[in-house]
Amino acid sequence: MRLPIPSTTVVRTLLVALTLAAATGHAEEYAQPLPELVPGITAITAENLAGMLDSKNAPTVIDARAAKGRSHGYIEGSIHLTDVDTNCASLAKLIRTQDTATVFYCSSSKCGRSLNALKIAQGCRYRNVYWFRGGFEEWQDKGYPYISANVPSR
Amino acid sequence: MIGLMGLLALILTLTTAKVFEHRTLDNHRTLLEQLLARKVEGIYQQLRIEVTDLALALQAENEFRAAFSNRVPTVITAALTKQFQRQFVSDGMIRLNRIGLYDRNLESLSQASEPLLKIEPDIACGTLAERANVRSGLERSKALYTLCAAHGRAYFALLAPIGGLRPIGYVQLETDPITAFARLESELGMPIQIIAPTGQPAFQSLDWPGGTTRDRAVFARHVEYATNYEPVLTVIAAYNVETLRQQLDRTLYLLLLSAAVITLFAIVAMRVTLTRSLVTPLERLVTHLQHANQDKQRLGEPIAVQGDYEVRQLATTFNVMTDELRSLYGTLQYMAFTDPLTRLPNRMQLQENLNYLLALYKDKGLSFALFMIDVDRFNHVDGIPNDAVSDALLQIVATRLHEALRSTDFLSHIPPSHVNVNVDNVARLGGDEFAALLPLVGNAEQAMRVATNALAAMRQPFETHGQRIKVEINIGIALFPLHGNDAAGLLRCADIAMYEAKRQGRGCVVFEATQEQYTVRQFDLELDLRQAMARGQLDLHYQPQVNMKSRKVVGVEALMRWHHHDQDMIPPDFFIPLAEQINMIRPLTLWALEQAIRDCARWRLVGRNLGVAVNIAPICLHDPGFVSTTLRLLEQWRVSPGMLTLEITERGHHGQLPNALPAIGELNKAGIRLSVDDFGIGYPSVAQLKQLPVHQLKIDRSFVIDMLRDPSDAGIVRATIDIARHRNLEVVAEGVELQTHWNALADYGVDIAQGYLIARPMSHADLVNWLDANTTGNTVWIPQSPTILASG
Repeated sequence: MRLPIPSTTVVRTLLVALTLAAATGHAEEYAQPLPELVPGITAITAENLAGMLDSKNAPTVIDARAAKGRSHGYIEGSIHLTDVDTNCASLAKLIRTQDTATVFYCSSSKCGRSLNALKIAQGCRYRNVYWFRGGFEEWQDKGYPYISANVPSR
Repeated sequence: MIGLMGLLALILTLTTAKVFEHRTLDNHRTLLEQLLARKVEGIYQQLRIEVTDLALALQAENEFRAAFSNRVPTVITAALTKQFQRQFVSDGMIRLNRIGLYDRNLESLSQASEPLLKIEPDIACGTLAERANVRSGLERSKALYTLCAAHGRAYFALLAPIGGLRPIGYVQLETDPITAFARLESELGMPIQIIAPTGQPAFQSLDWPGGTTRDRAVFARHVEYATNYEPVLTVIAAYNVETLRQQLDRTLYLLLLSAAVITLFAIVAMRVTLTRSLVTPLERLVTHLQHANQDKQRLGEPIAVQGDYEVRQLATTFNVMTDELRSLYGTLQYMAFTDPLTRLPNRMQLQENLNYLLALYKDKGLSFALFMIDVDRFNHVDGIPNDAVSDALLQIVATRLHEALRSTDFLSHIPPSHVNVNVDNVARLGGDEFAALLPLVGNAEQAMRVATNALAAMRQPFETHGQRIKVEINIGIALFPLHGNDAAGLLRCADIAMYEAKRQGRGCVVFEATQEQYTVRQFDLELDLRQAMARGQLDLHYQPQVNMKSRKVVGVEALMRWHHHDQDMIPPDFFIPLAEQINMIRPLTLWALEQAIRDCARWRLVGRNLGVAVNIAPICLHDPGFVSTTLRLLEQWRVSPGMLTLEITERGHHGQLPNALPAIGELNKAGIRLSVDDFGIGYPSVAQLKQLPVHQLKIDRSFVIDMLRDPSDAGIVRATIDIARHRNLEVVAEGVELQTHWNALADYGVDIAQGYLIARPMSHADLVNWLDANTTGNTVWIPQSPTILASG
């Protein structure tokens, strides 16, 4: 899989926007989808993730959503860790080594939690981190199997 | 016109409103369809997620797992059927109809359907499995879903992997989508209808509009298709546009009202503008025309209007035209009331003035005088008259007359009440007749004074074209109210008075009732005389003239007789002056001349050589053609000029003789004889006799008749004879009635006698008979003591 490499000017502009967005505080959803390309961060699609899960060395998948979001359903094998709770200590419990492949996702491309958690992980020197940008929404939309946490008698 | 415009505006407004409404509703429909589509999609996705959740939940069930590992179909089917009993399969949006089970190669293991629905257990949307099977790799772990239609029903089918990313089998769930889409009703907040693949409504809101209420709704449609692009479901939403419609209607009414108001305003504005620029000035012009039509004095009054350029042009042209009309009218007036030659008022104007004066003076005790003036202009001092001279003469006569009558200096006392009356008082009635109105003259005495003054003024000769001419005027005077109180009466009286003045030769005469009968008779006779010649009522009688010594009949005198049908013969004494007045004398004279010459020729044929003497008025000798005519007649009848004697008298023709001299000279040269008639009475001077080449003098009968009684008359007779002797002239005595006359005249030496003693005037035939009876040869045998042959 070839991963896209962003151009310098575009990335710089987007970084500014992102900083501003981050400065305004946490939000489950942003007014617009997050940028596709963020420098230093590798974004993956649902297909990428499926492939990764199917391989011998399945990555650690971290669900950065809040409990409410997770209750809608989650990717099988994903670990619930909200970005708020994400820190080097909590991460150390979940990720084996610094080089272990780790995927962060949250609800959709509009959700910023996964990106947040990923950055924290990078800060904790985890090197092999991936951002499933599309989130659960993409996974579900494309028909990939997931675990439904609630029984459908709503 | 206005109505048409209003109608047009109305139609336009209505059309616009309808178009607007239509577009608005269309707009609404489009928006609604977009909304519907989004909502449907939203519910669809929700359904998918819920069914997926259900599929996953089912997988987790132990019973399900057990059934799956058990490959006995009937067992699986029973187990599947049992699932339908689960509450959660028929809650919320999901109405599970079927379950199908597949192995990892998508071979069908078993299927079951909801028992209560009574539908086939076979999977309806079989295409899903087909599609799923062609996938490879990780793709096979993805779920597939679709809508499909089968047996007239709609289904939502979801094929989900069992066992996560490495599926060990598949389960297909089919559910009724209509149950899910029914949610649209509350999601949209509008009544909806869902049409099944059969075309019939599978779901319909309770408040779905039907019948007449359909008009009040806008319908938005959305069609959901299967993967093979066949329509599966149609969702229709009804949007109540009642309020919208009401709003639109309100807007429409408002528009109409505005349009009406604006149109009205426009019409009023137009009308005002038109009125000012067109209607008002036109009305003014029309009014002006009407005024001018009613009162011709107002023609030519200019009018100024404001308004359009064309209207102003019209007004200008109008002014020009009316001005011309006025001057034309004035000219007409002038011409109608003015005599063209003398520029004096004409008869019509006189009538008007007369009427005016009558109205003015009536009942006021005031009087005025009317003059009728006749102008005789035959006294040419020298020169020969012609038309140009006559016209010029008349003009200056009129001027002098006008002046003479206008000056009222000699009226010493004028009643002050008269002073302001201003009537142009001399008019020409035609020919040689004039009339004058004298408003300041109140009685006969004043009138006579004025008239006499005028006569005096007219006595001075007139000069024109190098000729000096004298005219003689006669004035007849009538007074108001003495002689009449209406125009016709006064005119008639003045006319009669004028004739009387002419007849008597007196100059001016005031009307008296006695004059009337004469003039009446005269008027009648005038007419008759004009026709007498044509009717053959005229005749020539001949009276023999006898030589006193030889008793021979030497000639005859021709005397005109008029056999008037009503009356006896009218003597020439009467009708000759009349003829002169009515200008008949020339034709009469010529007629007499011709008759006489012809009869002379006839006598010669029967052996009588008689000369004939014809009375000629000197006026006839003024005619340039008279001499030539006479000579022609003589030649025509083969009568020797010496046989013709022309008797001329100056009695009643003062001053005409001198002008006759040239003609007389010519006649004399031709051999025609001339006789001076009425000698002693008419002839003014013996000196002038010297100039006349006469052959004969005739003593007036009055002298002859009275000479026995009156010694002075006898003396005149003797003197006449002496004169005649000295001049070698023949002397003829007329009026010899008695033998004693004869004897005395014979004593005096008169040459020729004529009178009743010898014979009365006789007609041509009678003359011949008389000659035969009383003469031998030409000699008349009169007995020595002749009896009077005819009673005097």
